[in-house]
Amino acid sequence: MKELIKLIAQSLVDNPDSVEVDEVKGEQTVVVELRVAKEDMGKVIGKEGRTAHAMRTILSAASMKINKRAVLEILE
Amino acid sequence: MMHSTESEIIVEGNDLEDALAAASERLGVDRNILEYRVIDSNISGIFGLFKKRKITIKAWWRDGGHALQEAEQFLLGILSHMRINARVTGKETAEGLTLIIDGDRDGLIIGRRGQTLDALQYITNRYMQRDQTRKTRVILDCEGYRRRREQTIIRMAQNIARKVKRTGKSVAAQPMDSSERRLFHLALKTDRDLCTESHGEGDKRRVVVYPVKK
Repeated sequence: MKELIKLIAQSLVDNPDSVEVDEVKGEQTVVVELRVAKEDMGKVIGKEGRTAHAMRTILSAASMKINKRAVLEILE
Repeated sequence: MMHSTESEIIVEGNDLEDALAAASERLGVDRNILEYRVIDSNISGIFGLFKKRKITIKAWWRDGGHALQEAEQFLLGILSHMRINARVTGKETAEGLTLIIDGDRDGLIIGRRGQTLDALQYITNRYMQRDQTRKTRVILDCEGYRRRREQTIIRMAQNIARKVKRTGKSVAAQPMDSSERRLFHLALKTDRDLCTESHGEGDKRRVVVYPVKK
């Protein structure tokens, strides 16, 4: 899950080295925390939040494979 | 990767159109995305007695297929991180790049009402257009979903059109994205008893069909 979000985020931002992804595993859920450089926030959120929404959709599809619910949090 | 790796070919034809048609066939790509240079164009035959016109061109496809390969690699990377074992076949068309995903046994790639496929398509487009100078458009398809969806939208438009005519009242369709709304508008374009408009913002934007009063 972590690697998936990292791959997507790094391919969209101007500062791929500043992309940090953490995973907090719960019993039924996985929380994926994404941090990017301040100036790249817009790139991972997108117009009207469309990029963030697309990442969440892809993440939930992927999480079906492991029978867990995955949540993406974009942190400042 | 199923497309031809040959990026530049030399072909001959009776005229330019003929040569371009041959090149498009050999490279297996749409003619509109071919670029070419005329190498030789002469009228052969002795003193012009047998006017046999021939033209030789060197043809290649725009970007030499780099954009296509880049898009394919990107999508394959995402799919493998999603632990989905699939093949991606790309081709260049007049509308842009089309990537076809094969191997979605459980419908995971398409998702409910195509939302996963749309999300993958959106992200791939963001990636391909990350420097603003490039305008490459990528369309993703899987198991013929786009075509099926197109037919569903046309059917939906026709059903709503019937309802509007029967009741004389306007009816709103379910929210759809811009390409789907376009199909909807087109489906009813020739019907003079109706008119269609899009209303609402963002995710909630939908087509409304109105009766035309005479």
